[in-house]
Amino acid sequence: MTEERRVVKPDLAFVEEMQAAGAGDLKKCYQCAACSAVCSLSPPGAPYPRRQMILAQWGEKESLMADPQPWLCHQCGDCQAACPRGARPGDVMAALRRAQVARYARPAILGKLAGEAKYLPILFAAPVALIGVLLAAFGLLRIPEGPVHYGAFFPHLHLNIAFTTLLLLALVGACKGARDFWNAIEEQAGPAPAGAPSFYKAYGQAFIELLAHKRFARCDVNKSRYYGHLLALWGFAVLLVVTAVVVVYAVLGLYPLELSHPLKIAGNLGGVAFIAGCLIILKDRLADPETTGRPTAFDWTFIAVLLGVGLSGFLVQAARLGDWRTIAYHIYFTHLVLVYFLLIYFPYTKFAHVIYRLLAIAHAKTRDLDIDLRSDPTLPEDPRKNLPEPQNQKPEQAA
Amino acid sequence: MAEEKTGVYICSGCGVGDRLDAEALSKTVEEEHNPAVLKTHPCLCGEEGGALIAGDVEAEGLSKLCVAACSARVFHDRFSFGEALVERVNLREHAAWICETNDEDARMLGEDYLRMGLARLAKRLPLEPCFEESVEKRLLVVGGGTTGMRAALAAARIGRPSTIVEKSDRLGGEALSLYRLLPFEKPYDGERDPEEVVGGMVCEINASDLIDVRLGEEPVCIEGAPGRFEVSLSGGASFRAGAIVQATGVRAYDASRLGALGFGSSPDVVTGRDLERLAGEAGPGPIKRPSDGAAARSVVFVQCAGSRDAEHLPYCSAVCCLTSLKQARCIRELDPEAKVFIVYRDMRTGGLYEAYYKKAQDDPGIFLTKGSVTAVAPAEGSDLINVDADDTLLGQSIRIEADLVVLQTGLVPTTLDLHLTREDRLRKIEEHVEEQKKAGGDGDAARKEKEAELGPPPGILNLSYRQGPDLPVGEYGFPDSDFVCFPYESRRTGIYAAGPLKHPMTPAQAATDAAGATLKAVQCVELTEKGMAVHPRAGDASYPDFFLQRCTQCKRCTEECPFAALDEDEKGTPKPNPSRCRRCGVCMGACPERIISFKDYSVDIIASSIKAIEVPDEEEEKPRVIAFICENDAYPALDLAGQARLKLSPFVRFIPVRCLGSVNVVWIADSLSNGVDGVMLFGCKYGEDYQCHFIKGSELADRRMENVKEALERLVLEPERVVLHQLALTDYDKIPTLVEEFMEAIEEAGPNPYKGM
Repeated sequence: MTEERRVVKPDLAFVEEMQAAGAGDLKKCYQCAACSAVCSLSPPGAPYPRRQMILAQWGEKESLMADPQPWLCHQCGDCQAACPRGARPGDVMAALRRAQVARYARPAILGKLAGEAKYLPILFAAPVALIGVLLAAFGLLRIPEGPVHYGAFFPHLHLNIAFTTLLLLALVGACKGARDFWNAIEEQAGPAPAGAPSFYKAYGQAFIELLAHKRFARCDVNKSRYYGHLLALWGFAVLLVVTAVVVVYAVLGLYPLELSHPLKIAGNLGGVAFIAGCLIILKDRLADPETTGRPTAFDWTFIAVLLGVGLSGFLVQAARLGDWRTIAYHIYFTHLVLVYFLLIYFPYTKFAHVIYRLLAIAHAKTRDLDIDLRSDPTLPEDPRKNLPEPQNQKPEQAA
Repeated sequence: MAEEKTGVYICSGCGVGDRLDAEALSKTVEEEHNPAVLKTHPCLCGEEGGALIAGDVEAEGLSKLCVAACSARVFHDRFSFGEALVERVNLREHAAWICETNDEDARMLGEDYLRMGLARLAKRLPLEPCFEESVEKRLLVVGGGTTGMRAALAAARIGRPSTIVEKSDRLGGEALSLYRLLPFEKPYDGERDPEEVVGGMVCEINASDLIDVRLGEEPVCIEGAPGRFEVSLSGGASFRAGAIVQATGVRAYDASRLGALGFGSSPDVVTGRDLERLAGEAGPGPIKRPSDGAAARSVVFVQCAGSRDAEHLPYCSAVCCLTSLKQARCIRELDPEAKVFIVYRDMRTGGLYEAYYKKAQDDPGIFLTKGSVTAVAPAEGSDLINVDADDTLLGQSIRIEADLVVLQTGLVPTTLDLHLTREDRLRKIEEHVEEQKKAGGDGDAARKEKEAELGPPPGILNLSYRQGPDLPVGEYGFPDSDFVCFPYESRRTGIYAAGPLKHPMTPAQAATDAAGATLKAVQCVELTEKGMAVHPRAGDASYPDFFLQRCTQCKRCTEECPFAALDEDEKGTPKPNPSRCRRCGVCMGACPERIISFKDYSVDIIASSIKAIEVPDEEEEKPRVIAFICENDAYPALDLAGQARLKLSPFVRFIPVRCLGSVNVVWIADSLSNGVDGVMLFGCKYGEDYQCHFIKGSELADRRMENVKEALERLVLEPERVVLHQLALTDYDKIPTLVEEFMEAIEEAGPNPYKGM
């Protein structure tokens, strides 16, 4: 026997944690591997999520926490539709990603706070308090007279300094988490084979694939997810760039901009795309959670904050243009809080997927265990085409 | 006896007329037999045809009818006319439908079938059912476990009295040694308390005045036959019973043979049975491991321990997977922190037990994996036991560190032990006799001496039958039966094995099996009352007559009866027990003196039928072959061949027999001396996985045919002239090839030299 014999020590608490965190059906899996067979992203050399299912059932926490494969999954729902037992492998993968986000959160306390719905008020209270303190210390704390002029109420310089500082800290935490994650998956995977692409090359490839959303395009059960995520990502990217530039403009006193300004046009277009993308994602989640995945508070918080940022952004603009003096500053305050929440907590919320997913895909490329995205996923013929409708919804009621 | 008047009816319907000229056949019959009534009809099975025959029976007082029409397997009711004896001649499937054209050969075939049928009819006598005097309705239930109790309760529900004989001092059997019982009815999702289940059944039994319970007793002798068993118990009491349900169950496989799985290497390697006890002793709180009483927090179950293994039990015991799931759930219930591992080969929880499997699977503390356990050994330097498993679902070879290892052993039937002990006893006696003989001693005296020393052989039923005191066992020591067609029957008429004794089964199966066996036992009593046979000739009122004046006490019949229907007197003369008899005729086939006959089936009747065949002269180049076909599978197979319009040689004459075992070798001699060129026999598969309804009829026939072939060689006849084929119903399409090959072989051998002598 050349294989190493591993002593298994299941972590019972971890199984129970996973069950509580959205993977309540994970024990139903009986390892038929239908999920791995139908998954259009699962690499033939190291198929998932069958493996993750048994490891999760066996409470193999350490092994799973150093497993990059949950991030290769894009939660398209094909596996849950094919699962004959209703074990919901997609939800298990989602719960594993969530557990990893908490595991690699630096500082860990923020991972814990972001991981559970009950700590949400604390998470929101922090930016509210911070902005409040900045307002009290450097602002007027009184609605200014005259037309809506945000700069007159908010001490933008201080806010920007505080925000940038916190964002940098969050980035430091994110880097630390990313490095720990990378080291863990590297250690578990062992040395890369000779001739494998370097990390940078792999990461670059992964990044380029991400821009085109080639992986999302392979989803069968939930096609609209491709458009939703694509719009949201590109909209967000445009908004991020525009905002950064506008901050510079504001520092230079060139704020506010005319609606016809190219930056403003770009920002508004980005905002529309972003909101449309978020709405598509929301619709998918609401319309068919059984197939796409049953959302948890972790998912809802992220979607709500994204939508909140987009919508409040537009409202801020509308309030200024429409001169809604009574509520304009409240809207702006809300927008600021949401933006702080979204960006400063990003390594700890679901937003962290941007960190780990790219790393995981890059890792798979360095191990030659990524699927070949150039191949046509519809060939050979989709084995499920002629199968009857899967009956994985609440199978216990069929009895 | 009134004068015999015979009516012959020839049907031309269903295409019979296309191949056979009914009028021509009728003419031949008239010339050769001149029966009282002779008619042809285009549709005898229709209302008009039936009325025609019924009218003639009434008007002419016909006592014997020959209906030459379709297969004897169809329209039995339409061709029944009161007391009149009806001989069916199958012109349809066995002649018209298998003939290529309506030529001379087809006509000769039809004529021969009529001659054969009329010859049989002439010799047939009216049936006189053999009634047992005062048939006892009470059932004897041996074994007071849950299956036995259910059997008695099932009998009581239909108003039948029963007596449960239980050797321990309490009803409940093995169930009482278990901590919890598996569910045995919907919704299969929770365990049952054995005291509660057994208690409920005991209450019902106590409340019934139809059930008599004898505790602490065993049958020491059972004499007689269905309808009149005389049961003597160890306590001295005796009573009569009509039929017997044996529910003596199973025991666990001997774990001491499982050293390879670590049994004996530590007190903490236990069996499933041990775990039931440990769970019972645990009370509230974790199970304590036997070595030091510490809590067993990590428990590993090794499935198929000695099962599905050529060196131990080659079969699946059907309940071990369920038992481990049950015990895992109990362990988890006693200790929510316990981790239970089940390493299985295949998780088998058939039918609705799937619900129970899902329930157990859903427990976060029960870890399941397929895998093969390669080693179970105490760990060095700790008090744990390492269980190593390869080929697991985790994709790795794993080691589990266990506080307690449970080997889930399989089950063996209680009949196996008897069988083994008896074989062992016989071996010891034979060895002793050989030794004494070598030393110049008296063999018989040595035998008696050793027999006395070893005491009587162990028994459960202790039948006083010539062929042994218990149900004969088949593969793996389970009671033998033709399970394919008659799963409830044993090889002893009126005695039915119930529950896991019969074959490994789940508790749910055992629960229904008890009722099934009981109903078969009741049916046996009913049929016995009417003087009729039980399966597979259920309702047959014939029985074998023994013309004992000519018996030479050769004991072939008493030895070869597959159902031990015959006892013997001191001289070896057979003592028939009609209600034990299944009417297969194996005794008739065995008897060299040909003294065993049924009123409607005898050596003479078939021999007359053989002699009725007209064998053309050698110059005519029309060979003749006789094929004896078993009524159970070969006859319907031939019907199927006819229905499929497969073409067969018109030179073959098929003669249906009750079982190939009933074919007396004299029929072969008669055939060949009659000038027939060859004899074929079509019977059921024999040997392992036999299909013979009478267990070994076709096997016996094969053995007898080997002797016949030797005799043929002495007569300078080619042994190829006699062949025996095993034929399943589904093999009907092979018949033309088999016949064709045989015809070719016959042609090669040339005509029977005894033709025309």
